[in-house]
Amino acid sequence: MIVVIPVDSSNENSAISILFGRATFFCIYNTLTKTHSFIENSFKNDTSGVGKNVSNLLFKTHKAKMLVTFELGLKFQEFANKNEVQIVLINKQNKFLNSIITLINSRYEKDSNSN
Amino acid sequence: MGRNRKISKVQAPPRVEGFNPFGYYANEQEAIILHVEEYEAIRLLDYESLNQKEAAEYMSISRPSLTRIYERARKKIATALTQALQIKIEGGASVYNGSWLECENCNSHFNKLPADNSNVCPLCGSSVINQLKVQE
Repeated sequence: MIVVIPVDSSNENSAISILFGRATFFCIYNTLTKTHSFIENSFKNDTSGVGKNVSNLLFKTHKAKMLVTFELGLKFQEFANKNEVQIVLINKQNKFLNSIITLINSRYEKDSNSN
Repeated sequence: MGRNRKISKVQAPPRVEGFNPFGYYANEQEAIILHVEEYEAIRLLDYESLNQKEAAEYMSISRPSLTRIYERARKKIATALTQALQIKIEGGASVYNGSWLECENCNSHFNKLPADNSNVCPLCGSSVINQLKVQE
């Protein structure tokens, strides 16, 4: 499953972005391979259409099935619901990408151990 | 007797429980209670820039009801700003749109997808999860 996390910079120690659609980078995490990559958000400074363009990029191009974020705008929430994408609004304790990746890894390790 | 308030729909839980004033005259002993539907009205109209008709549809209430909620919210925020009071976001007459759950392990909030029967937190896998409700 592909998980998308909005981040401020393209490394594992990055802080999670406060905004989703206008984040500087997105971390694309694959729970099957436990690998991740970063994509730059070229729409972040656009004056309109950010929600639609970013959702096309994440849901159609990258086939995202889960968003992990501090906040999600109304339009994005609608796109996510329409595409049956899981939304996770994180707590302030999890401010950095590496803590999110640790949580996801522990979850999928539990799943693989129980199978 | 006052009229019964219609239950408003809120799209997602607020990200904070409130705000503290700071400075010499800040009064952290007294708080203004901003109801969740009042927060939602401010978010939809002023942050998401929806018009009143669109916002009322999102909240499943009439436009006059939305106007009343919005006016109450503005008055409360103005009072808190002017009198340097805390703002607490809680309670009110609202429900979350869709099924929102809270994980007791990682404290994240997440929506329940129609096809998902797993009953675990999608982030940490904990099974200690609760239905998220607006506290009365």
